[in-house]
Amino acid sequence: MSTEMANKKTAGHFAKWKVTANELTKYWHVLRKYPLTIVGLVIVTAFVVVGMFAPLVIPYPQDIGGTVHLARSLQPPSLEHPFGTDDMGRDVLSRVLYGSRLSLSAGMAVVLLSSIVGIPLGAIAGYYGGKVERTIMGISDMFMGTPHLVLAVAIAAVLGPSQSNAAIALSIPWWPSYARVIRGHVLVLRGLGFVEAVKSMGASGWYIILHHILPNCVQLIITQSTLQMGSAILGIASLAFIGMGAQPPAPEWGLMVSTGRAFMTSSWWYVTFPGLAIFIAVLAFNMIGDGLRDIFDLRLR
Amino acid sequence: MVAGTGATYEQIAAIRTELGLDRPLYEQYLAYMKKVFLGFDLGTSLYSHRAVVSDLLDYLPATFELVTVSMIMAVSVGILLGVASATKKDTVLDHFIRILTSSGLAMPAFWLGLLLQLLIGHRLGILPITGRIDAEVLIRYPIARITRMYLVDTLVTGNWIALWSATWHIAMPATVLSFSTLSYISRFVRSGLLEVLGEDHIRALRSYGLCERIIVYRHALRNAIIPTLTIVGLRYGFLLGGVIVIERVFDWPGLGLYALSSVIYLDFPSIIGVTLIFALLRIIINLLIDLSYLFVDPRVRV
Repeated sequence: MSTEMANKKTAGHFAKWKVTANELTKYWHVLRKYPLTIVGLVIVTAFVVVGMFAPLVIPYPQDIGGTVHLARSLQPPSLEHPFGTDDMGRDVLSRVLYGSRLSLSAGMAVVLLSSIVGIPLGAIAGYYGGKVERTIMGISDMFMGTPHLVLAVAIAAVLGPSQSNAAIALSIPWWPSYARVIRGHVLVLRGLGFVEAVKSMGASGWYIILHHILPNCVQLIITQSTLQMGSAILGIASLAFIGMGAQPPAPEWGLMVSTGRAFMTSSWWYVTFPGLAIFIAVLAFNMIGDGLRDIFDLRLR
Repeated sequence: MVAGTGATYEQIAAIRTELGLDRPLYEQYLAYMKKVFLGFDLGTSLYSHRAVVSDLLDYLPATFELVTVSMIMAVSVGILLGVASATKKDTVLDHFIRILTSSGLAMPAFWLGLLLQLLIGHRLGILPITGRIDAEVLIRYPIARITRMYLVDTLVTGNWIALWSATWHIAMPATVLSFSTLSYISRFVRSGLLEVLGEDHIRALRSYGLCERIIVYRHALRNAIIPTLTIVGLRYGFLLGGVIVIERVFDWPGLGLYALSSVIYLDFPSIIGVTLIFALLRIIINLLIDLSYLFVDPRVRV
């Protein structure tokens, strides 16, 4: 009897796995039609892997800090240093690779922080409407009114320039874009039959938002976050470039372009490769985001 | 901070009373708001000891000029590229434009600016690298101070040589600043136009034998341009933010550089002033765009 039940249980588990395997193949069949998205996924995976195992992968691990080798400063790209060396003689390739750890984590922090604030507020505003909606949207309009980067620079100035403060400074003007998109979607969902049905069964507003509204926003949130990730990386790099983000000798991409600017005319590689890394990372996230938007058939904005 | 590190207690106390820092926070805030709204007074800069308003008025024209030129470029080129891309869908031209616009959205503006400076400015020597105008031209052909926007002032007074120099100087920063917005608009026009071109009224026009160009520009684009206008408003704010980075790259003496220097000196009245004026600019532009719906969309006129 008990073994029978156990068998049933394992069978159940396997059935569950089978479903996910089926779903995976289903996703694969859909994805196959979007080659650019696959390219983006591959690039992002590469950046993530490099970022996670950076100290093990990079050729000159000691160069990520403030070490100085004046003997080999500003050398053009060669086999030993494929991206050349910077003014302190540090290997640019090692620093660019390590930089993916900094940029990706900061970008993720911005996306997480702004979605933690933006998603609940957007859902509440969309579901309850009325005064609540007006208040929340009014506050978000206040943040939208000032250009993101200007507000971020002002906040970064108050907090003091550093990589983590740059992430916080970017999230503060950033959350309203989440709130707006989610609110728009919730407004549509609210009028649908299944929400009405749950409501008529006496479910509370919180229950409906948590169990019926938000699960239907998952695709939207994933797409929005992917697209935001690209802009967040750009924003973090821009803040670092104007000196409001990571501080030297951190191997942050924007910061490296900024320091390389002084040696631009003689050593083109110093500004080129860190900027190229930003470009490729952002492009990859945008390609995934665009593909997801088409796959999920969403119309953002 | 204002008094310096060697200040005595009396000096600090005197400055605190002068700046009103000894009063409670809400009182300070109310006093500030009263000055802003009633007297258009944003306080005195802690660094330059000048009124923030006059500082802002000095730097605003350069920024406004730069942003406006790049917005015009972004809208005109963006619409052209979008139309070309939509009408020649899935051709080599379309693919090329789409590659261009996706890179435009992903490219860090400061990096593009530096690369252009290196290639076009330094290696080829076609365009000047930094500044608003040649110093020599400015001395020999002084510019009348009417709007303080060099392009406008030189055009009005017929100062052609200075206009020429100013145009060459603004070309590169404006191009770099407009690139991402241009891409955004182009993609938006493309998708909007493709949608409209599939609709019934366009098929009807085609069956009448109307020339394709008239169909696209007079009938289809009109419908596709309305959502694009909204985007223009949103992107204007983006351009204003981008100005901080671009002005840094091209040493453009505008609000962005002013904002950065006041941030570095922790000059709070100036920081607040700059933030307010950026917000004000955005609100004005949004209002203008809402008004422009009247011209484009007959449904709003009712």
